[in-house]
Amino acid sequence: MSRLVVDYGSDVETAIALLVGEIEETPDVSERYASRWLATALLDEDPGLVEPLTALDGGDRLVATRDRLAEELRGALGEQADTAIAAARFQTANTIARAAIVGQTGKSRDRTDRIDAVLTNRYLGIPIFLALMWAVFKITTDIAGAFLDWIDSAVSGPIAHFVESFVSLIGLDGTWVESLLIDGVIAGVGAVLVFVPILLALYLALAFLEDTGYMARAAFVMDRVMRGVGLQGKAFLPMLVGFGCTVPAVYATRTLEDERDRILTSLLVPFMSCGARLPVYVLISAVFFPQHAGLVVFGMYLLGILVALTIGLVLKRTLLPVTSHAPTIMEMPPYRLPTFRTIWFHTWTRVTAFIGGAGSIIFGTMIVVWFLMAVPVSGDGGFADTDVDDSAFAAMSGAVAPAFDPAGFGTWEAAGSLLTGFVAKEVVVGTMAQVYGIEDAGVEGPSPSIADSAREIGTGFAGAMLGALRATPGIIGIDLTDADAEDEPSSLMASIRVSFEESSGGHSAAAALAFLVFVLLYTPCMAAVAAIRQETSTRWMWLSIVGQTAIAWAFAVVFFQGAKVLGL
Amino acid sequence: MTSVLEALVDELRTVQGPIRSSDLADRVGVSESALSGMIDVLVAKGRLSPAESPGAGESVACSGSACGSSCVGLDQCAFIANVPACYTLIVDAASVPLPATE
Repeated sequence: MSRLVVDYGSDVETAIALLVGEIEETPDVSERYASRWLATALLDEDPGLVEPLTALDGGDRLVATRDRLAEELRGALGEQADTAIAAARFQTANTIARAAIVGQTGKSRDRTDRIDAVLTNRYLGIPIFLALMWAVFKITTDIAGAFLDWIDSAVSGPIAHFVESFVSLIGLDGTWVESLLIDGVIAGVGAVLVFVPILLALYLALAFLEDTGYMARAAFVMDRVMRGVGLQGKAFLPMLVGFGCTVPAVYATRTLEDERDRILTSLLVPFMSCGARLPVYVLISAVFFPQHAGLVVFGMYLLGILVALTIGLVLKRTLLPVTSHAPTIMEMPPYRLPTFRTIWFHTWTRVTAFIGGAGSIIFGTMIVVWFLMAVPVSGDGGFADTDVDDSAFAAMSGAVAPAFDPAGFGTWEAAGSLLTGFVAKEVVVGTMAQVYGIEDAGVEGPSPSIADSAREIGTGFAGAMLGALRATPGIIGIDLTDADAEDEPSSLMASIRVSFEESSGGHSAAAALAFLVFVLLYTPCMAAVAAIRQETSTRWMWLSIVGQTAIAWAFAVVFFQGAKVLGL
Repeated sequence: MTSVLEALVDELRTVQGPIRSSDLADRVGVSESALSGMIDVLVAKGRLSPAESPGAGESVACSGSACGSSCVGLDQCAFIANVPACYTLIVDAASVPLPATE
């Protein structure tokens, strides 16, 4: 069998020959190593070679010669010797492969390439990405929406009754403890947990796309969009993370080398609609746009991207000019059939993480909100026995509320909900449940037995399953739901509708849209603000807070006034 | 003679935006697995910069208390868990003009 000797080119070959000569004059070394292999490996800067070689007699001299020759080669070749050696090896391997492999003339496309030709197409990629995201939100809101009422009735019915009975059993009924548990914890945290089915459906749909390998293509498509505003290729990573949560997305900007890219990406990431905003979209859509909830949610995500792109273009031309667009190679995973086990694992991990979050930040904030609502600052009520309009929370929120008059939701309830949203977006819904639902939050009627409660929960679940099954064909446009059968809105939803109706002068849908736009665009949460400060500077942090709030307010006003003109 | 590594870098310079590794392999005329090895060499030589995992070494990002309450961590993030490996060409903008075609 003939032996292949790679030709490294005249300069490298001369250096190898010199080293070979020296190796052969060093018996300790030449006894242990093949001369040409050792010479090549030394010039290739094999990291594991120097230590054993210098332990041998004459080894130090060989390393010194290698260093001198490598320096000379760098001057002659304009690149390091090891790069030239690697290039020559690849060249040889490529020549052999071309000679040996027959029948692959031109571009051979496998299944993944054929699918990619469509899904990542320059013109079709973005519309397909948007269509898939629309389908995800349609599934999320229409199918999972059927379970909202079930959990709501379970939380406000049997669970609230159980807590009330327990409080009564320990002799604390009628005290502030009962108010704290029923009006604060159950109403606030329960209102957020109601949206667990929505998140479950969202995570299921995303895990499905992820397991097929599509999400990697979404990153590819997104990269093109990001470059449109002058961001470097790697900026798409934090932007994608931003759809999940803004905080790690801001930290993820550390992977960008250029400081301007880091700052620009940190400022744009908060406009990507994070998962915590979803419950707000769903609640408001369920109240004002029940037939088009999926479209509204999708619209919010799309608006966030468009605003980020616009702001990016403005910053690129003003404060943060971007100089270069480095090309990026992406290694796409092959498409594959998803497995239920993997999908469920990802989904369950994400949902339990959300529930864990609800148990910490949301729980804490709900107690603070309840406390502020229990403290009277006017009227003659006492602690936990005051009209909510006389509470510290109402006074505090009322001071901000007039700013939202031009956007149609200038009430202390809406303003208060948005204020707590600075802590975390999940608590907006919890606060709304407290401030709008407080007067109805009491548990009425005799406590049902455990058997009755179980029956109620079981019946509710069966109804929810039926509703979900009926809604499923709606994704492809087949409506099997009973159009005449309107669900009885909950007292919370009715209170929100009445409040928006009054504050907007009869244009509640326009005000609701403006409210959603504000929720989308203003500062995501305190943790995100802290992250932006840590990753940029205090100056950029304040620009982010003030800029985002101003943009959110301006967009909300424009949406409200515009929607009013359109007759919404 | 232009080496295949130089051809890869030259080809990459003509791209403005992202390119799939399989497309680049086709353009250079090598298999995708060969391209993968070539990319490793170029990364080691500092000609390509690998995009680290967004959270690599930054456990603070998802350590819990500093994180958004609904964040599940980068390794479980629905939008990032299966992101492609990507490599950016390190370009000296002053010396290497980029053609404006893809």
